[in-house]
Amino acid sequence: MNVLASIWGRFGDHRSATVIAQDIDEELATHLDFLRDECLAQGMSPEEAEAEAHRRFGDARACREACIAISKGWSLMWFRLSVALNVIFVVGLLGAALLAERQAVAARRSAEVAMAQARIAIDQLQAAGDASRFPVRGATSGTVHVEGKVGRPGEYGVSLASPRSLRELITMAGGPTADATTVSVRRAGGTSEETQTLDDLYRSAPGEGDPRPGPGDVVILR
Amino acid sequence: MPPVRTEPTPSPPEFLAGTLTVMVLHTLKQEELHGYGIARAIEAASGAKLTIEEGSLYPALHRLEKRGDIRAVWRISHTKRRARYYSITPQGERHLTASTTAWLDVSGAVNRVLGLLPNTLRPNSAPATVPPSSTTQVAS
Repeated sequence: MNVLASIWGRFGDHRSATVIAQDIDEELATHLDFLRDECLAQGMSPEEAEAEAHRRFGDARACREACIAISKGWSLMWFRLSVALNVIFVVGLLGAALLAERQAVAARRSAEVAMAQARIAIDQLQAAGDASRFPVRGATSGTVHVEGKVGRPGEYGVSLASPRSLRELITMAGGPTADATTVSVRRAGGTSEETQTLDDLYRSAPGEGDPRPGPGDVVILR
Repeated sequence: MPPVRTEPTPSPPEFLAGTLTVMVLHTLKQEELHGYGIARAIEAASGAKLTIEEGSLYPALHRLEKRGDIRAVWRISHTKRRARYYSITPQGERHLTASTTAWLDVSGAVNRVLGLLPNTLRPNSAPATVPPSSTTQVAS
């Protein structure tokens, strides 16, 4: 507490300028009173005592000004210091904001570059896919033929962009009839079939082991 | 910056101005006092040889207070006056010790320069004169 008090006392005179001046005036007046009393006690007349007190005290006005300058000097210094600190704080804040802004711009720019690169890569992949992968399946979009024991056998549209699971296709085709037990997929242009029981299909997690029929494939429920 | 003297007084000459601080600190180390009391104590302790222009005490006191060497509180004196009483702080005591040592060094040096103290303590002169005489004594 002592340390705090000494710091508080040293920086920033917490008294206002008026109070500082009043305190100094009172302090000096008290001293002159003491001197006057001493002179009166020595048997001087009130006038002599007054003159002697002032002679011994010296230049009271200069003393007062010096004391005020010392007290105010410190509060003025404190004021200047706080102004300087505030300026530094504001400059720092502006600097930080500027830096953040610059970083945000840089981040946005790099994100845009990354997106452009990704778009080019997608385009290249699609072009490559169009040229090599999909001819095997015949096309990037088309229909799957669903037949056998389903509610509405027929052609159902699929595309590479929005592939459909086997279960979806069966649902689209009205669902299995009551006596259907297995489902087979014959790939476009092929003759072999991948067959599984409907129980297995519906027991598996969605998408798991799903053959995802593509354009031209045939789905047969038996 | 003590106030400019308005008239020549029989008070301490100019070179004693800087010693006021150390005298004030020493006085306050003995007891808590107001400005008038400090002036009387210094006057009494110096055998009335040092009478300070008492107004010059206050800038010194306020400077010491701001520096944290002394602290002040308003009290009612025994003559029922409100007076500002000063007391020394631990920091002030440390400064007092340092200033007292410095004063001893400086005043001792000045005294030697003025020929007021024997020169035997001067490191260069004393050993230089002793060895030749001692060797002559040994030879004879």
